[in-house]
Amino acid sequence: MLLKRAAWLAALEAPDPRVRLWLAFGPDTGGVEALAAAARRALSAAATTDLGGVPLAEAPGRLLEAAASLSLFGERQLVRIDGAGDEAAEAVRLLLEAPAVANPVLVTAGNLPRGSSLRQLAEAHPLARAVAAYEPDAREWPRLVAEAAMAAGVLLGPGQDAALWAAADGNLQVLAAELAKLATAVAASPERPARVPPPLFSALVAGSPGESLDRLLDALVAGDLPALDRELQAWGSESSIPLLRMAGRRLLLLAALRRAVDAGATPRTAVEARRPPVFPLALRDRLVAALPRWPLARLEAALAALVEAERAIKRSRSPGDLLGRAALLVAAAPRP
Amino acid sequence: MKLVVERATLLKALGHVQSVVERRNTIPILSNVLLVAEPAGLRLMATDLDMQIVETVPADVEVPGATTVSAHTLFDIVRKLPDGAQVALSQADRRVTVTAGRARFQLQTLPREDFPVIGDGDFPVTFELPAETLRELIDKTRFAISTEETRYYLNGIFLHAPAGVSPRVLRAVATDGHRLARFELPLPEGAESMPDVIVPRKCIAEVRKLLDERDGTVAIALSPTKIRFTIGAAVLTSKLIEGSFPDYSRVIPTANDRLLRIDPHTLAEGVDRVTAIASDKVRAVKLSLDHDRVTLSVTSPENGTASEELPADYGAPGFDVGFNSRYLLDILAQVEGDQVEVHLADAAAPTLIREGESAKALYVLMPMRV
Repeated sequence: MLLKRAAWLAALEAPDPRVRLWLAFGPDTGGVEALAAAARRALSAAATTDLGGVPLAEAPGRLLEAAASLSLFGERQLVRIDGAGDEAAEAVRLLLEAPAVANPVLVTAGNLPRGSSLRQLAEAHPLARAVAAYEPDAREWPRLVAEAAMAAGVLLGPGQDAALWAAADGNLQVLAAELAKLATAVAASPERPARVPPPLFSALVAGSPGESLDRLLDALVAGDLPALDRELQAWGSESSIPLLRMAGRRLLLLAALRRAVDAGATPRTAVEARRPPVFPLALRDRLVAALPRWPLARLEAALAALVEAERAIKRSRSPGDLLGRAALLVAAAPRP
Repeated sequence: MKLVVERATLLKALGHVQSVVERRNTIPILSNVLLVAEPAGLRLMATDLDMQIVETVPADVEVPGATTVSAHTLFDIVRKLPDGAQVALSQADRRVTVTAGRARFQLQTLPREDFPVIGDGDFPVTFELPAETLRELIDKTRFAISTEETRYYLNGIFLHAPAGVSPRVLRAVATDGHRLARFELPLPEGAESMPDVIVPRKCIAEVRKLLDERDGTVAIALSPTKIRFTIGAAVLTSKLIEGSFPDYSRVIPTANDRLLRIDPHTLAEGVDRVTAIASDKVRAVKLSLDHDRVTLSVTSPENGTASEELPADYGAPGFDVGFNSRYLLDILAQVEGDQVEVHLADAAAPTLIREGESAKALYVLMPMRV
């Protein structure tokens, strides 16, 4: 039986003992793993039989055997198959058609097409509960981050939810990993939630741009040469290659948005429709303002110049980071 | 190092030590056997860091010395030498030369100083067992050892001398969480203060291989972390599994009131026949118990059904129970007499299987849902 995410999770809150198969599949691997983690918690097995390495196509009865076996020590058992595909369909059919089983089975899979025999079996059978994990709707991000933070025991401060979502790039598995890292740092748990001080948060969250770097990139796309120069001075003697690459990523984002604008979208709709969504929200306004100043030809030239600058820095007897800084200033300079 | 050793003697010892060496090793020295030429003969040693085997064989030692060479390569060479050959081993310039008749091999060596030795230490408990008894102990329990790495503490045989049992006994127990095998014998002299230990599966397998060639007595030495078996000229030392073996006594049923008495060979042959229809897909066999008969049945979704009625001694109310046929056959294979007692409660409770109340071995099997 195919359920929506919320219904699948609700079904796990009081699992029907008659349900034999819990299937989570879909292109969003992070979402699939988050669903599987919820299932593992809900089914609260003391012992797990992992059939991930068993060639089920050759021995399809192994799944039923594991699911039908009672435990000598009386603990609840869960049978798992991770990364399944249609080769597991026959094993699942035997499981669903058997007169009785003892242990629930949790199967995770990647993107199963509609014609997939495993997916069809699970979607159609009354003793199975299937759920698909697609990339989350951007509108759901506050709820998703809040749920994940609550599960990790992390109390988020202002702006931290958006920064986490941006760092995770919409991947729930990455989001959970980031939150687990924060929870470890502040010894937080669901029973004892704790806040993460902003400096620690900035230091720990992967890809969380520092304020200085943000200002530098904003100055670049805004063509604000004095501000850019200031930020480059503040960068000090650090290598400029990371700056070139971060600037390249920002210009690539602008190029994608520019193509949407050239295809007829307004700058605002282009930014709002971007997937994965643009975060933090304040960046959206800055991109909308910058887009008219960045025709595609200019973006392409600037990107090529940044790549060439990195290449030049790496050559022997190169003036080094001066080239990188110069390239950034040239790229930012308004065209006549 | 320079010595001459009889080929059959060397081959037998190499067969023992090379078995401990893993085929694939990330640490090169662990692929090698340590050869020590000393006045007493040639000592061979191999280890996988969890287990170490040492065996000394008679040899004419001209120049004492020691080095290490690839265990599997040396074994393969000696295996292919003709019967009765005298094998000369000599070491020079980081190479060992193996000569037999006109055959000559030069093998790369690694320094003996790099060879790890894990077998040292004190073994405060020592006792002896007849080889035949140790063979029986292993055979009656090892099939139930778990292969599931996550429950590592079940990956061996639990040896202990339980308190409160009079007269005192030495017990061996193995379980994989679905079946359990227990074997006991009178506590050997010297084992009174033995710690509870879990002997790893690989060690059990190596000991069992050595016992194939040996009668007489086996010396067993124990510390809280290691066990040592001295079997003839071979000394096998193994680390023990660190962990707590579960309280198995609570899963051995004592009040199962439905008793089935049946010829174990008839039952095993019947199970084997009816499961033929299931190919590899389904291993469950259903036992339908009724007055003085058992009906075995298997249903295969593809091939059809099979059933067979067997005569038995059964007087309790009839009911159906399913078992994993492979597990049931494993247990029945251990029963030597012409009658086995199967103590049942219901289709979801542990079932006790034994030859009789005074049998040294007992087995517990969990049913399967069928």
